[in-house]
Amino acid sequence: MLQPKYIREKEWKGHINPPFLKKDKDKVIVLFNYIERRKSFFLRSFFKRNGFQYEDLGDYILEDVRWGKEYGNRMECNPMYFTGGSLLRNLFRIEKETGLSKEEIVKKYVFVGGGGQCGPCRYGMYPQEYLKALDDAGFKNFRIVIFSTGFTRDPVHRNSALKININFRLGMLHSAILADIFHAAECAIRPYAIDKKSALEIIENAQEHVNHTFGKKRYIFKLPKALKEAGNMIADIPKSDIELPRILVTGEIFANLAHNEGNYNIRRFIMDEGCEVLPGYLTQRIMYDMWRMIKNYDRFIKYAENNKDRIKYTLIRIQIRFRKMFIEYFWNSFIKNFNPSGFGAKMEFVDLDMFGEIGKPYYHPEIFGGEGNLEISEALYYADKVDGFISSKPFGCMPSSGVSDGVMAKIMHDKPELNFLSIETSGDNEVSILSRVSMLLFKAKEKLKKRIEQEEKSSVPR
Amino acid sequence: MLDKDISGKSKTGTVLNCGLDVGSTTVKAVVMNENNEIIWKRYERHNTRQSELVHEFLSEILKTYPSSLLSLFVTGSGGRSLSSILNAGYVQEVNAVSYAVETLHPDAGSVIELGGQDAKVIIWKEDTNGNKSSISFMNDKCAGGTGATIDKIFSKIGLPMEEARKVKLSGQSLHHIAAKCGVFAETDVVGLVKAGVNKEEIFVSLCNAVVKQNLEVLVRGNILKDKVILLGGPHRFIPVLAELWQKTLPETWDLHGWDPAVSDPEEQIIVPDDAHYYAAAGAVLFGAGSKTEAAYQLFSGLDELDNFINKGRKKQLENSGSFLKGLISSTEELKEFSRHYSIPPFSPKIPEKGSDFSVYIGIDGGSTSSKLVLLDISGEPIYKDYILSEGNPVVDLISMFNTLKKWISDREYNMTVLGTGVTGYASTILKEAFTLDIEVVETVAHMRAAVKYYGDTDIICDIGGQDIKILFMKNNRVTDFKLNTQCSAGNGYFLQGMAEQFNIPVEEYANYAFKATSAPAFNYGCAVFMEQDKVNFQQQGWSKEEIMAGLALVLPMNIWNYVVQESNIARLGKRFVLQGGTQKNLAAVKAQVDYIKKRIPDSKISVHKYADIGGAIGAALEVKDKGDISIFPGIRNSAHITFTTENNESTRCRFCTNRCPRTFTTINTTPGTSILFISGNGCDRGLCETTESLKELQSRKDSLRGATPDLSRVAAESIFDDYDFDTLPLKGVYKKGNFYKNSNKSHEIIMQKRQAMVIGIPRLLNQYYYNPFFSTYLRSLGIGKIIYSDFTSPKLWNEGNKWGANDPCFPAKVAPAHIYNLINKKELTHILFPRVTHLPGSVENTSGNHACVIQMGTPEVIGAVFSRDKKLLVENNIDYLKPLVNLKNRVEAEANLFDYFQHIFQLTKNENTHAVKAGYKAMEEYLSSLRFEGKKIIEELIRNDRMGILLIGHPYHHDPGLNHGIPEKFQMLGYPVLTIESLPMDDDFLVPLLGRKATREINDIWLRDFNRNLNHKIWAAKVAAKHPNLAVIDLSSFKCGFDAPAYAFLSNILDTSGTPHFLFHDIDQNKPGATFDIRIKTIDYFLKHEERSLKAYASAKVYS
Repeated sequence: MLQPKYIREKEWKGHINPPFLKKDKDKVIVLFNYIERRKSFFLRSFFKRNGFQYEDLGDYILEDVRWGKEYGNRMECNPMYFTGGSLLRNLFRIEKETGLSKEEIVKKYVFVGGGGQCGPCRYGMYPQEYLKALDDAGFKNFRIVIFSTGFTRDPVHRNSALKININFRLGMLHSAILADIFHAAECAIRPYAIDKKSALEIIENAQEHVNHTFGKKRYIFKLPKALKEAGNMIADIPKSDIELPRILVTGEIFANLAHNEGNYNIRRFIMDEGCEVLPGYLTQRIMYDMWRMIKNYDRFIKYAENNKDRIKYTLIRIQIRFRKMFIEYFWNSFIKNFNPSGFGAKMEFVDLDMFGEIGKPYYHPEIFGGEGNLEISEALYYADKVDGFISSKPFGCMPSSGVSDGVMAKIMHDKPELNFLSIETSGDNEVSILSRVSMLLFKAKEKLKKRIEQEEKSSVPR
Repeated sequence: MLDKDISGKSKTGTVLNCGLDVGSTTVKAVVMNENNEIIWKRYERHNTRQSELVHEFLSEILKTYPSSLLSLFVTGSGGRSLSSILNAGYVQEVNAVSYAVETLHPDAGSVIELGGQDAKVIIWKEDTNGNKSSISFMNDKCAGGTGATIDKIFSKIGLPMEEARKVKLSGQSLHHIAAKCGVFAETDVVGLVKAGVNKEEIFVSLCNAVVKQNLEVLVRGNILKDKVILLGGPHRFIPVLAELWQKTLPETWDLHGWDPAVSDPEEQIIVPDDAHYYAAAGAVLFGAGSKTEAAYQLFSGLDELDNFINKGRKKQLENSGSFLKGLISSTEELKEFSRHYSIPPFSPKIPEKGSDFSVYIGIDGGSTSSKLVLLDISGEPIYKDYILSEGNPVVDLISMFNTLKKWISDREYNMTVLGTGVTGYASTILKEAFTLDIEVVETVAHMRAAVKYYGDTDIICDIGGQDIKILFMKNNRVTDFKLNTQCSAGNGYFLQGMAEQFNIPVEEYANYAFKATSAPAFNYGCAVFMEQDKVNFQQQGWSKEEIMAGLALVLPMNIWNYVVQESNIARLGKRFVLQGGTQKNLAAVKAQVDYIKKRIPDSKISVHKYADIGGAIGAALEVKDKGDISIFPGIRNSAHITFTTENNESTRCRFCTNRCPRTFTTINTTPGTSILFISGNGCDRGLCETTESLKELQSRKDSLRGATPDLSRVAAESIFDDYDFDTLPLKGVYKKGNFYKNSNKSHEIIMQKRQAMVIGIPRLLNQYYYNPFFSTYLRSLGIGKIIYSDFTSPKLWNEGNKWGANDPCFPAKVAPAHIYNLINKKELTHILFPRVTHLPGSVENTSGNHACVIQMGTPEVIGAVFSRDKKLLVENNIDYLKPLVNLKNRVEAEANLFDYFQHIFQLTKNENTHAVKAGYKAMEEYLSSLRFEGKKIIEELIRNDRMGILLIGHPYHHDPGLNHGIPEKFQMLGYPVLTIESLPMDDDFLVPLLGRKATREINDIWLRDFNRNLNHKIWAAKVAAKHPNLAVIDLSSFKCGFDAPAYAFLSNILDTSGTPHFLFHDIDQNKPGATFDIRIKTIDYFLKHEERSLKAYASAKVYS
């Protein structure tokens, strides 16, 4: 083929993410946060136990969106702006507070966070986005360590100070389960507590008590006792026995599980408006990823082009099943000790196989993309089990706004009893979003009232 | 505290219920007696002073009913925050409206309420037991289709509200206006105004667009059952809106097979007298009827509200996360700043009275203002005129010529015009109308003006009314430019519009903004979202001064982050020239200077001394340099030009089925001579008046097409060709590794059944990549006929858009319209819309090859929307086929298709295997033919030292209805257009460019490589970055979640190597033709420059 007369020589090499090496471990402070403060709260103990210097960056706040937008790409979704923006906000804060130069900050800090859980679009790419934002903000070569659930293949250096190994995974898993437990406690207590303020204080104290144990070397043997004690503390909180409407919040992982300004703190808003809200569990979301992976490997094995591949896929599938079993084991064991039924809560995983089957005629579960199809299955399953159903998603979220909102049109036709609201969160615009939520809550209250009336009518002796 | 007494009587007197609807732009209040009759009401715009207006209303009510007690109920977007201060019950507005309608109109089937920022739809449904329940929808974050969209446009078209109220639907031509977004609508309206379309017609078109927008997005394919109640201020005050609903809704009822109770639309679709008070009244009815659990008590006075207005509000704001420092900290700072950056008064050296001299005239017909300058022969301005546009650019220029004529005669000059140059939005019509010498692209004109006075410059930042243009310079030469795409967030008109909303002349903007010591932090980005921020901030109690300061502060973010997309501006350079009319607003300049200085402390920033007339100066400089003899007929003649416009059925374009309305402007240049100027046309065919001129245009285009290939068009057409396949071998034949054991007899019967099948395939999404696979698969199985939907077009969209149920990117949103188009072809037995999860591709070693989730999921959405209320597919006996296929893995694809089709087509495994092989072969054939063409083009480019355009987009961007004809425009300019799929894959092409190691890989720079189409965009950018004969046009649709993370990434790849690349981002259903034209003309200018460099390099090489 005819060759060009010259070739443009200059070449962009991409964003650099240097490894966080063992030799630097003692000189470096690990910054971290993950979806919401409860999750990072327990992560502190993990870092402490493993000898890291650390700083918990805590909850996301509205200001993060501005930082994220300034240094991120245009037209990203708000999870990207909140998470990336939070890191930048904190780096600039550190610069101001410590007087360190940007170069010194790059040497002294690393960031550890999650990523890629959603995967179908922007959110799955956010390690790239972090690096872009960091480079542009002047923190070139800042190190980030992103743990994801196996979808992507970010390389980890063999001398990395923070390997994504079993110790790390267990630490993350235990933190997630503990955060879920206390989230469940808050959901069970907050709307019913006779004295909300002191009830929340007791939950915080119980959480602190468990975290103290979680930070110890052989925590795994000491946690059962701490969990029992915490469960008892919460069970003693006085509650009223009124019946409140039950609301399910689902949707994209961040918009659903960020119990902070990242999603207008929507569950707390609902509870404070006099409704019960079903908890949203990160561990359930991890199980969903596992379930997806197993389904994928089922396909890979079935359609492998040769035996070598088939064996490879089978081994990986066994490994994932083991991981899934571990998760179930720890979940069940922690919950057994915490005894949520003591304070009127139930903590159980949903049956994802069943969800996959009921949703299939509407939105096939093999259509890869976040939680879009899960939302459809949940709507079908919960239509007659909850009084209100909210799908919370970032503005322009592809699986959710782009697909499941469309499929919901049919569900609403087939399940007219479903009290459904789809909200797009963007970080701002809080007033009108919460106004829409209030509208749904009102309908939920009406629904409950009608149900109670019917129950009373049917229980009147003839 | 007194106990509430719903009966209306209390211990001390009568209790009156008061409902307050605190909305985004207005406050509505009603007082109702115990019979629920409205005895007092008021409606007023709050101009950001919500709390104050509520205070005023309540004071008046207290004064009117001094002996009564008040029970308050609030609703509306600003109601929640006020409810606790007023000790009032809060009622969510949809609940309030629902309750009011249920009480006052028990026969209502649905409600459409348009507010300032919100739009709501409520539809009542009845189950089999007769129980009524309602579903409701509110607009999402976008405020398109609301009162704000209409409000924003009023000032643009110069139609007073009083006149708008009198407008009736009377067969006016309806022009295309994108009401999806207030900003897009504005762009279309500017185009219509500049084309001379009359304001009443623009207004009706806008209202029509609002109705359509609400039907498309808000109603989401549900049936708006009668009786339909239209509520809210816009419906109450703009009667034509109701008329349009009365015209449009019955059409959708026909479409959905809904039978209304009565046939007269005026009885079915009504605007009640107090349409704007329903929410306020509903709040009372709802709250006083104990429907709300929010405990309320009697109103105890205005003290708390006083306290909030005077103290509490400020404190609350200081604690909010949106608190920024004001623009200035002291009067000294302001003085110093003004001294440095204020534009000096225009004080040219004007010739003495009675002198003879020659001049060049420069004209800038901008979007919001018109400018005229005279340059003397040395190129210095001696006269300028700047007027805010009255609407029609021809009228503006006549007026400016008259002023100029007077200036000349007053001074008894004898002035010779050596040349006339025009630039700006209206340049084409002005050039024709006034017989001006040359038309100059705006970017070029502004560059000329900056270089003349500030030669050694790195960045020119021109902020005009509608456009933001950023030019990057090296050695007095423009190396690159950025223009805002469709969105005008942060431009001059945006600030002007905001000032108008506060009833402040734009010239006074800075004076107000500088008064603020603090400001709210706006989110940068979309102008409509900023508008919502503004409403939020108003509700929180920020003052207009603070909001104006906040808007000025966000301006640089919009420029650098949104338009330029460069958060690290230090790498662009240090010498900035700020120009454009917006620089007259010192608040905007202050924000800009602070922003740049914070990031580049040693930067040198100059505000152009002729900031507001830079375009006109540039146009005059261009004509001066050209040096041709002027054809301009003179100022006197120009000042007396007359014109007429015609816009009716006779001017409607008849050259295609879209039948676009057009405006014919007949300009009488000199007595007896006239020029016809056609505008409002949807494409260049619309520029023809007669069939003959169309033929002439067509043949000219055909010859250009023949000379310059556009492979995007070739791809769009050839992908739907029939590809050859081997016929299925008969029983017992062993061929190519397969043994065919089917019985001939049963095969024949089955084949007859298949022969009778007619399968429709929509031309959508990734079908533009894998159609040869599916069409050949079906044909090789003996399917009788395959029919495709039409290419996307306004006609197809308008006919089928009422089936949509959600609001994704346009390539997916148009899917129901394609399915509807197929159904209407009437002969189908099946529709095939596969859910393809993974795609094959030419980029290797990626972590995935997934299709985008919207691409995979849209067939599910189609299944949902055509099987709810109205089951159109079933009614037409069409089976919907949506196999789930992993095309990346051939084994799996074969199994997927067999599992899905074995019963539908009565397939044998061997038949399926055979058809799958034929499908893959067809795909390969399609790709190799494109690559062959691509190779030829690239070799031609190299041979002739020319530039070609590499289109990097998704396969669906080949659809001429989705790419808005952008590739064709380049083809017409003589640039061959290549696509990603047409890039040769041969080693002898790729290895010299990318090396042996990463020839077909991207994981050296992009780790999250799981999306097939984005992977290919990045790979193609890597190829183009190396090849000197390729420039890149990056196409991306609005809301594309894959493209967004790669925006800066692709720019980095292409910028580093110096590859010319241009962005057409946020492409949507609307086609902002004027903006596209400026971009394309500018790109042409730069590509010509690049070609000169190529030629210079080649000749230098030969010489050496």
